[in-house]
Amino acid sequence: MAIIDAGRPALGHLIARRRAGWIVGLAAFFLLVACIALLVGTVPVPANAILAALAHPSTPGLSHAIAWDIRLPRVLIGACVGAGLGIAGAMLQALFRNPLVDPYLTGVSAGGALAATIGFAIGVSFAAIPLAAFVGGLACALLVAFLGSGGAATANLRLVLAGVAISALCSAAVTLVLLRKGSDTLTILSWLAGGLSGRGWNDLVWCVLYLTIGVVATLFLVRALNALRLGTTAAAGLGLDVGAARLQVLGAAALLTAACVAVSGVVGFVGLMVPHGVRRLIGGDARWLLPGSAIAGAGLIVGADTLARTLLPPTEIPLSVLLAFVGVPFFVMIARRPVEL
Amino acid sequence: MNVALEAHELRVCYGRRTIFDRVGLRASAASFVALVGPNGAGKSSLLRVLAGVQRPASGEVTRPKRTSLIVSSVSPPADVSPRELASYGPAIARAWWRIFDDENERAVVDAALGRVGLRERADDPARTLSDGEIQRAWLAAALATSPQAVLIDEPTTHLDLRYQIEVMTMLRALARSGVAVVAAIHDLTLAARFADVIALLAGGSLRAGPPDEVLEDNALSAAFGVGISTHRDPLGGHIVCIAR
Repeated sequence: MAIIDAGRPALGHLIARRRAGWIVGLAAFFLLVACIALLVGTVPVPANAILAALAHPSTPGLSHAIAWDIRLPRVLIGACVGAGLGIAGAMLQALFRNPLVDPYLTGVSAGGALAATIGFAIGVSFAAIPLAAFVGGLACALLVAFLGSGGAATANLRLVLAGVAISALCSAAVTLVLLRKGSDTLTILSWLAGGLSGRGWNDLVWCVLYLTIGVVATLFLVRALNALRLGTTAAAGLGLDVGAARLQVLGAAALLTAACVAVSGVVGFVGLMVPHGVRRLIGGDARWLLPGSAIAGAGLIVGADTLARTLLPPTEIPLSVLLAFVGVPFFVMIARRPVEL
Repeated sequence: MNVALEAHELRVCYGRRTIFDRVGLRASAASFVALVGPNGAGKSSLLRVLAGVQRPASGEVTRPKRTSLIVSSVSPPADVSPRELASYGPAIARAWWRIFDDENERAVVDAALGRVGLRERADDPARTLSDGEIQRAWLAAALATSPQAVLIDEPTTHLDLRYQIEVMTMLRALARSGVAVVAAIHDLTLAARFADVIALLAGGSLRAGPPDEVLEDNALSAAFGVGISTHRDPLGGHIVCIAR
């Protein structure tokens, strides 16, 4: 293909501008969704009362309680969970070079859920739940990576199969733990179902703490993620220690997922859909893809959670149920057409 | 001569199949070694082993600290620009706590792009580049690592004649600048014209030497399983190989 140089605009510049534009657009979408989420809910409170309560944190009252104790922490937790799952999904897809991969399919979520369930069952304090989820998630991810590795041509298929199998095993183990436990079964079950109902500031603090560690770790891994896009041989050829880099990426993704699983249970498909959509908009460069996925994930979860609590009042639809209805058709769609990572 | 890259008694197996055995190779600094041989002889495997990306079943390799392997038959992701491609090597080499590149690193990348003549197109995505420009971008990626040895798999495949000459000229210039260059090349005539040393990998063993020694009718015919005759180019004087 011959490209004529004369009078050509600086393409690289245009692309960077377009990417930045999409990031700004996604951020605007997130802010809009977050505002709507703060203003609507099952308890009808006028919008200006909510705004007044948010503006004056010291005045007590019903609108104050709803704004400060229910809606705001929930929106913030939703944003954290969405951002964490979005980044984790983007990292795992780049790592396994497989567009069908997400924290859910690689067994990270299920392993985290199992460890967290055991934690809840034996009465570990909430602060340690993300840690338990991290260990469980990482263990499962390593197991899946090990089972799914090798045999280049079929590696992707084997990986997904291994993930599904390990996830199923973890779910079975969760059921077993719940049966043995008996007493708190309902609380744990409603947490497992995936959702943000009844979450408050305390959950947010721990989630943010673990997420921050994960995000900071991710910053150091951006160049490895980008080099891995070339394929493992090419990345190693340029000097990357591929084995170490893979382990680090897996660890960071497991930590991010664990922080999310601990507060929201198993919320599937976000880590799959979000990086995919964002990659279509701004490409696979990790420097853009990771922040884009974080913002879009935050918007998606906050938006879906708002729908989950307002669609069928007074019933709250579990977030994971709502996302599955969107996620499954999406999964089928991307499984049908090839995409570049 | 200053030996940069040296391999002894290499054996590579896939499962029970031995690809090659007791293979040795020396590449001195500032020399251009063309690795030739039939498909499946193990050229790519040998390059990976030399680069340390793949572990041999047995044998050992001594390589300079900065050795780069470029698999140029792989296309980079469509949105990656030559500048980004060239920045990956320096970024990987950077200390782990330094998230961002610095002035020095950008200058190295810029110089590498300049040496392959891609400064004008440095920021254009790979999907808009020609095959020749992609090869040059890969070469810039190797150059940006300030390598002491460069191993390149099939830098001329898929290129038309002009780009083949262009890339080979660049590789030879790279070697002349003091770098040991080993490139897997399919075209024997091209290899004979540009390389200092021909390494013929066939039938599980390797023979290396100056083009005049290695490229002779019987050895080539046996290696490729087809009658090959060698001639002299009346203009340049280098060897021309023709399959019968």
